[in-house]
Amino acid sequence: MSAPDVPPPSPALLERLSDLRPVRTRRPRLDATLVALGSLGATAALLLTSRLRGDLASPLVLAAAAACALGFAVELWWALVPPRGQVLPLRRASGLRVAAVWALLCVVLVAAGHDARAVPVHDFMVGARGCFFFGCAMALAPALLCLLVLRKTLDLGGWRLGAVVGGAAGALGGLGLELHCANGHAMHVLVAHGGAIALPALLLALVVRR
Amino acid sequence: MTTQRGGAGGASAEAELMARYCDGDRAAFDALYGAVAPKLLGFLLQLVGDRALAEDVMQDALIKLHEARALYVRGADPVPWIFTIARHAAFDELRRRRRARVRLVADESGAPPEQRADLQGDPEGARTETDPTGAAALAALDQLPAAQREALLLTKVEGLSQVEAAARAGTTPGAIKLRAHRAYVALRKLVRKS
Repeated sequence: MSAPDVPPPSPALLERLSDLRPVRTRRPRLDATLVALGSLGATAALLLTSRLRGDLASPLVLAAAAACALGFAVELWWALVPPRGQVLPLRRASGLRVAAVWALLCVVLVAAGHDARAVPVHDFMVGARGCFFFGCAMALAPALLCLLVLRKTLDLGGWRLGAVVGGAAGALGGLGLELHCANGHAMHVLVAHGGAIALPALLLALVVRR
Repeated sequence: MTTQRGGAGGASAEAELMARYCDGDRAAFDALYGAVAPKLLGFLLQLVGDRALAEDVMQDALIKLHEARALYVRGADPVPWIFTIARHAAFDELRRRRRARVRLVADESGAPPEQRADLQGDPEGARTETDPTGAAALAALDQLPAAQREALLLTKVEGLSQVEAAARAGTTPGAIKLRAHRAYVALRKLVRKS
């Protein structure tokens, strides 16, 4: 197969090239660090304006919070740092990875929160709605920061990159909820906390085209 | 010109050109254009099936690359990224044209459709006399879903490995393998039918 003759650059492209200036290229590790710091700062601010749970010093609570923080860090890395030699941060089975992190976090959160002080089932929905929205609110900052950093790359990455960005944002929402809400009811944790972790990933996967 | 992804040296040469282009070196852009554009145009030609449209899409993709060059990661191979930008630009254009065609479906007095081009940009009709099977295959290619057509072109026409094709298409090697197989089966049926 011989390559076709290539036309010269178009006038529109030449016009842009006539004013070619150096640009600062993306530094993924620095981006990831800045997004992580900014997101954690926003989450801390949101938590301080509400309240922290009373049993924060409990090892189980801290372990669950650490799992969420780890999930956030790992998914943020996947979302912003491309594999070696690539420009786009796309990895194999991204959707599966996000689903696996979500499932793991749900297991850890339910295991850590399933104590004897579970609230009655009839109180479940009231608290669940509040937790769900609070978790989603905490996921906003990392999602927006990632969108800012990735800009046109997100479009090219498609739904898989959207899911990973949303997964990272959701995991941070889960971390905030774990530090905020002491409700250990398994259904509450699964639906409200698990839902708040999953929703950003689902939404961004749907919103980002292709 | 090094556009086959097999050689690490080729990838690093294009990475260096891209880095210099990002530093404002116009000569580096020209060299990168010379290295990437022929393969890119060949790919787009097969994807959109029309020489003029393929050239337009390529220029559009390169403008997008220019505007997005700040998102380049130094040291990375820019070619799969450039192909992904071009593929998206092509799909956008095809989608736009399909919508326009749907709107004009009632207009029966329209101009005759543009002829599909082969890799050298020659009209498809030029091949039908000497290679009817090839012409039938080219015509059948149009009927494949875009993702399947792309997978087939990357693996069978461009000769890329599944991993390389997946990198260009922004998907997984497994998906490329499946799409190429489905495209091949569908293409065979279409050619037999015609």
